[in-house]
Amino acid sequence: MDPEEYRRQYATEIAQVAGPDQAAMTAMEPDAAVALIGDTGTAVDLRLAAIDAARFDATSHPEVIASLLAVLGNRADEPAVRRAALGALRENTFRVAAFRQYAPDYLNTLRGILDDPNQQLRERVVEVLALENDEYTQRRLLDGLENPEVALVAPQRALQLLGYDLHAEHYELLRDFAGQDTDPAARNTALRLLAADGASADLFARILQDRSQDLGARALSGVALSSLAPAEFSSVAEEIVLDDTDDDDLRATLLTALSHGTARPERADLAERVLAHASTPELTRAAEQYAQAAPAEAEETTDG
Amino acid sequence: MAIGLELTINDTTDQGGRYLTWAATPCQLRVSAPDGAVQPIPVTISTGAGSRGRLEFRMSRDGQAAGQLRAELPVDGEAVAFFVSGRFGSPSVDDGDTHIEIRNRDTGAVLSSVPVMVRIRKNANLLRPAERDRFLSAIARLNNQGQGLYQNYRDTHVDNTRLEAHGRHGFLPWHRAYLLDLERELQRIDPAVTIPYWRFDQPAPNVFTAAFLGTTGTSGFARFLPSNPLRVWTTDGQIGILRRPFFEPGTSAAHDDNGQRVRREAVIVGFRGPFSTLTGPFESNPHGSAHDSFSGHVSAIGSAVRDPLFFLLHCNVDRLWAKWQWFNRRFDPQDPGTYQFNGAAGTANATRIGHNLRDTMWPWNGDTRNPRPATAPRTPFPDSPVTHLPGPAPTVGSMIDFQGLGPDAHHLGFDYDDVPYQPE
Amino acid sequence: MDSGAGARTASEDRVADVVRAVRADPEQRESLIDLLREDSPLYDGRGAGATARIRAWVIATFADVGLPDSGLPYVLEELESGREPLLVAAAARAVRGRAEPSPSLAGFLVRALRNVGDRDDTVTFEALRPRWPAQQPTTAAREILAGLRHVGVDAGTRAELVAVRSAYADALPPDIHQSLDELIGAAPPGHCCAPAAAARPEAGHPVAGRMSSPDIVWEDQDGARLGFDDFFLGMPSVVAFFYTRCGNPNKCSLTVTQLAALQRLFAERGLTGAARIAAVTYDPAYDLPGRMRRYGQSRGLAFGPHVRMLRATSGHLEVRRLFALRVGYTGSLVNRHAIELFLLDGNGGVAHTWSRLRWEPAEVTARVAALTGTCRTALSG
Repeated sequence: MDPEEYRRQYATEIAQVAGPDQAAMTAMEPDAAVALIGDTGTAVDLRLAAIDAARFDATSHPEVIASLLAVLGNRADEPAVRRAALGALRENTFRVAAFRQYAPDYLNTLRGILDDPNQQLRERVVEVLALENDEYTQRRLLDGLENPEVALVAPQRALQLLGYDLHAEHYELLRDFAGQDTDPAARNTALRLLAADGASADLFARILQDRSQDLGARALSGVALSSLAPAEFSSVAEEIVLDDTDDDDLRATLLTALSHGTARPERADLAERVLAHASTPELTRAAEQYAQAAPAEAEETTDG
Repeated sequence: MAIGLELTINDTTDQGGRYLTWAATPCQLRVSAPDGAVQPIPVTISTGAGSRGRLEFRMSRDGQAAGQLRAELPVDGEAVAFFVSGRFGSPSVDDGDTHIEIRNRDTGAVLSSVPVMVRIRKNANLLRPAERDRFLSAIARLNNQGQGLYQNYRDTHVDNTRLEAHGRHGFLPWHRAYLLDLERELQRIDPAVTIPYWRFDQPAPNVFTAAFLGTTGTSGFARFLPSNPLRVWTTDGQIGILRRPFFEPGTSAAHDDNGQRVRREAVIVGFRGPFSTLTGPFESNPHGSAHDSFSGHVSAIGSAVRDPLFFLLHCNVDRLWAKWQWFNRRFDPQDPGTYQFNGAAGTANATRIGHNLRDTMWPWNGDTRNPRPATAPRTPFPDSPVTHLPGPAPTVGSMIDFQGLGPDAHHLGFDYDDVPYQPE
Repeated sequence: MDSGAGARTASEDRVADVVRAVRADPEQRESLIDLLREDSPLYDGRGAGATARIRAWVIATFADVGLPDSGLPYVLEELESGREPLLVAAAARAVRGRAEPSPSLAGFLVRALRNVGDRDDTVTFEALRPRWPAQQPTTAAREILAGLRHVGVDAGTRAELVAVRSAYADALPPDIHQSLDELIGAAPPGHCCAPAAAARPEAGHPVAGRMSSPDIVWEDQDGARLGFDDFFLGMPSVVAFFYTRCGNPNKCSLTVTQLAALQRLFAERGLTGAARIAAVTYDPAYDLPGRMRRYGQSRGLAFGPHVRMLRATSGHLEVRRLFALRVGYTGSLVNRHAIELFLLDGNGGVAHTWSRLRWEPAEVTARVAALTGTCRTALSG
């Protein structure tokens, strides 16, 4: 395609498409925006429009950030306006240096929302704080896992949120969840996170080899074992991969782990033997990938 | 015995240099074995028959591009210099699927056919399955379940490094270098790989699939097919990627949980103001908004790189900047419209170190003095067989003219499928 | 689901009791020190956040009951390397408990301001387990500036504050800027570039005797197996501790980066081959050879027979005991650790230790040179 012709076409497209949106690149006067955002007597639509206009380059205007924080923290205000305020603040947090001066007040406001009656807002804020490894949020999540009456979120979600912090206080709970079979979703989440615990390699080896276990749990255990104990995984996985009475998706997953991990079974004809009797496209694909892959370790030579 | 030719691409005869973009790539062609010829050999240089990609040729870097080139090759081995580039709109899909063909004009015989690849960053939603799988395999192997070099990219995009890369003018140049660094490591695993981009202002039904970046599972973890390498994705020991979009990826552009959409491409590219007024709003929306269109790892700077989606998202951020540069002709680093702070930290009118045109960038420069972070676990910047630029310690300025349009400039080895190379 | 909550509450109640008793009788302040040991059972199984919260509660108490010399290393450690706003704020408060404020502490406070300048947060000291929103909020930066007002700012520190104000010009709130300006304005101007030499209290390890254990088996970054004595006998060794998942770049990442600097200094001073360098992981179950290798290489360490990263494939508990490691765990994950460096002589005897505060490669090199008999070269180099 001729670049100049492409430029002409693109200019036309921009003129047609972007025209109405160009206003989004122009800020409303901060004073006007602040007056509208904070005025609970103004129609919600107008206040939302003011937030949309004010979010542009908001970090350059402390009064705009202050008004957004005030709305967000005001439980009596309209939920839609508060959620819009959170959205505007959130996108500006990605301008880290510019937002930094507001961060202490922002985080303080968010913590106050953990007990907010607005569930949608509360659940969003729980995650935002959990991603910050916030200790107070973690404490509330742990309290909720031990006493459902004070739970901020469901158990599986609480585990996920705690898991954002590798160094959180959830390992004992994870083992408890990993050992139960009443809530498979929570159990699988626990297994995913427990994979970070080097001391759990034996548990994963047991689950992987136990055909009475849930298939999802076995697959996760295989992946965990491949990360924690590659050599042990290699020998266990080899047996399962070659066992055509075992689940094909599990076998494919283990082959994928073998293809993209460090250790490989010594059996050179592993892929050939699987391909000879592969019964599903996924197993075939995984075996083909395995046949093509060299051990990943070989790639670790380019550093520094 | 036949006439022997030697083609040098990107200053090397090695296969590793045979990767092209839209930018003009220097070539030298010479007769290595004249086979008794005493007169210059008349040749035509063109795209070989059956090639998947298409090529263009120029006699000078900023000369007129043509589908073929005529040259007379001296038999004493003196080289004829020319430039080759991929034809905009016709990239390769596989390694070596395109040929530079040299024919004898008198006899019509093919004297040489050199396989090359027009290696271009593409829209992830339009990738062929083989291109997609190649990328997935390479990035999974780079991660190696948390044992590989991928960890270094995570270590350089966490809380103590945020001021190097976010919230100031260096945001876009730093991330351009960051993407290129990762892409070069991926290319060491598989040279045919580029980072695809996720156009977050459009539906992407082919991206958020179990065969690619994952569907949304009820558990909150992305779901993958058993053969997808991301099925075994592990970071810090934990398995999987927590990611739940607030939008319907198959039918909708990205938006946050309140329905606020990311700014559309046309708004960014069509913005006529200088870089200094573009970068801040751009960083918050669409960049911040795209991150904030999900719950999960990708929604916070410190954890975002745990999700490989990060690189597709940022590849689109970089593409938008590149397209804005092209559309507004903003490649001259000294033009204040291209970049505001054209000096070095500590001089008049400079901003914080790392955000001025002549500053080198952490971590590649290894600078751990205040106010830089205390360690630099990703140094030096990796070299590439196609170019030695930007060098081991890239400056902010080295990221601006990525296509090598300026005098004495050289491309950095990447291009986008919808951003042409257009010398003045 | 288990008795975890009860155990946690009980251990925190014990901390609260001790703190209460010390507040009632400040002469008992030394009893706070025991609560700060990373390997205390208090912190077994606790998350890093909870561990920080408890430590902060203890450290902040020094502000009111007086900060004894024995508490100073814990406070300076936080100011020098801490990244958690709550703990840094607590340490900055504790400085105000020094009976005789010394401007030499100002350098640590400035470093703390740099450490949290890009990640400050609202914190509170109104309770050991505070609820939010806080009734008495503060921030690390505010506490640091209060600490600076307490200890005084000399000309050198003033210059550093000017640099901090510049580096974080757009990252600090207006009230912090104003306080900084006031401090800078009130300090004596001058061209001095170095603040008063910081008092660096001796914070060495209480370990002594010969290090040796038949129960410990190492695996290095390349998967080679060796016994404890195989690596640590025959020539002096520098032993640092680290783990690859450490979240504080001022600790493990910096330690390994410093080991690489040490290795280069060894080469410059002719010590290559005359002394060994080892980085031993706190997290041996996760830090497999490949992980250690990448971590070391990325930070400039050039591995060889005398420079290795090690994990204990058996005997990790013995390693902890032998080196009296200042580390605590949640699961097998570290929840808290100090900076720890040991210099062993060729018989495995402890020749010197560095703990909590950062160590300087030049000083370590000089001590190694003295042990190897190449003292003259090292000190004149």
